Amino acid sequence: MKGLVYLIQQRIRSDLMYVGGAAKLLLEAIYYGIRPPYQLGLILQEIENIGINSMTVVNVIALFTGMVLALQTATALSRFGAKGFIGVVVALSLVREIGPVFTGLMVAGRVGSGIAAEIGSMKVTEQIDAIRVMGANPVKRLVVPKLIATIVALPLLTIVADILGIIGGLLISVMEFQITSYYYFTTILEKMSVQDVASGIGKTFFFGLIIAIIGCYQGMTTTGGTVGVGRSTTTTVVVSSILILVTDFFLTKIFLLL
Amino acid sequence: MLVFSILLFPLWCSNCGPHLKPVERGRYSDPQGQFELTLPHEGWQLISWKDVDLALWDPKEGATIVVNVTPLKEDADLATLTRHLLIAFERKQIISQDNEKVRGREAVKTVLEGWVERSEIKAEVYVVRGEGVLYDIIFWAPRDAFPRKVEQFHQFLLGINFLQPKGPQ
Repeated sequence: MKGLVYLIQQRIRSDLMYVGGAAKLLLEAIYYGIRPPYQLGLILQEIENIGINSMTVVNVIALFTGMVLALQTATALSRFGAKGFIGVVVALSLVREIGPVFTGLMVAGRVGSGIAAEIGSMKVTEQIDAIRVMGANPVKRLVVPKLIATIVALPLLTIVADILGIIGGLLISVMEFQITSYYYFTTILEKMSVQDVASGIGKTFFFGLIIAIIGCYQGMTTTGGTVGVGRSTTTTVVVSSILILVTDFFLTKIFLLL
Repeated sequence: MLVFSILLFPLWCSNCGPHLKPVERGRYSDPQGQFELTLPHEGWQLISWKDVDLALWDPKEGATIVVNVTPLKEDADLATLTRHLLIAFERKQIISQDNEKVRGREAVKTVLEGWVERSEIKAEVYVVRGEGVLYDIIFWAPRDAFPRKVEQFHQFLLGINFLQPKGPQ
């Protein structure tokens, strides 16, 4: 029994240390982020790496998600004679929920792990201390550009993903269920509000923050050499994915109240 | 006040505990009991033994030696594991990668050129298989300083004693 209590204590302690460490890193990043110089070149480089290089994977997934969603929705709606509403159901599902969450998960897998691997590898080869010795601040040099770039890139990726998902749904609606593209888009434009789009895009700022901070924190705390780098990337993907899904629930509740 | 205390507690927890310097008469003994070595003298300073197992730095030349030891049960491919260490070097060019023996142990040696924080560097990286552990031994220096320091690194490598671990990991 004592052993179990000890294990629970250790677990709570390590979780609190993790939360504390990540919160501390976020506060440091905000502190250094609002102070000049602003490293615009580095931020743009990171936006290219995080945003543009993730476009292919996000777009392919969004397109096929829209297609699958249209297939499933049409099959279900046709039982109630409401097949004509495929467009609005697909669009609302994508814009409010599936677009932001899937994009967040994809970016967590591709970018979050990349951030952890890059910073983790720098950590175990003592390059972070070298940056410090050369007079630069590792948080300002490494964390701030990645944090800003992820927060900027994720909403943009989500907008593209939403559009492609809706186009995927359109393809299925037109080819499989003989719904005209005019009708598909008219139902979407009639039923969808600005608030639907804003709630979906609003979530992605938080998802971007989670992905960047968890990736940077895992990287900064990497120990154990080459094996440790691998472990950090895996942990980043797992923790970011869980946090995205948990945060999504609370953000949805908040946005529904607004 | 309660919310403030709750927010501060994790920050306080994230502070590190004390660490004792594991050096005695110029001899470094890894606290995990995985290796020991004689520290080189010519300008090298022991800068870390906390997050990595050993880090030496030459402030005059800007050269660095790092040793990491990690428990590893499975029979992983050393060349693949080496790649994890090389991610951090920007614009890198691998000059050579060969299988070698380091103090009788199977190892992969990689020589590369790359960039660290706007400085051109050259590096020699060894990933060595131990008894249930993996040793990463990394040496990097600015490109012009590399030829002056690499011989000291090779002497350092010859001075490492890989030990049996003290107990189960």
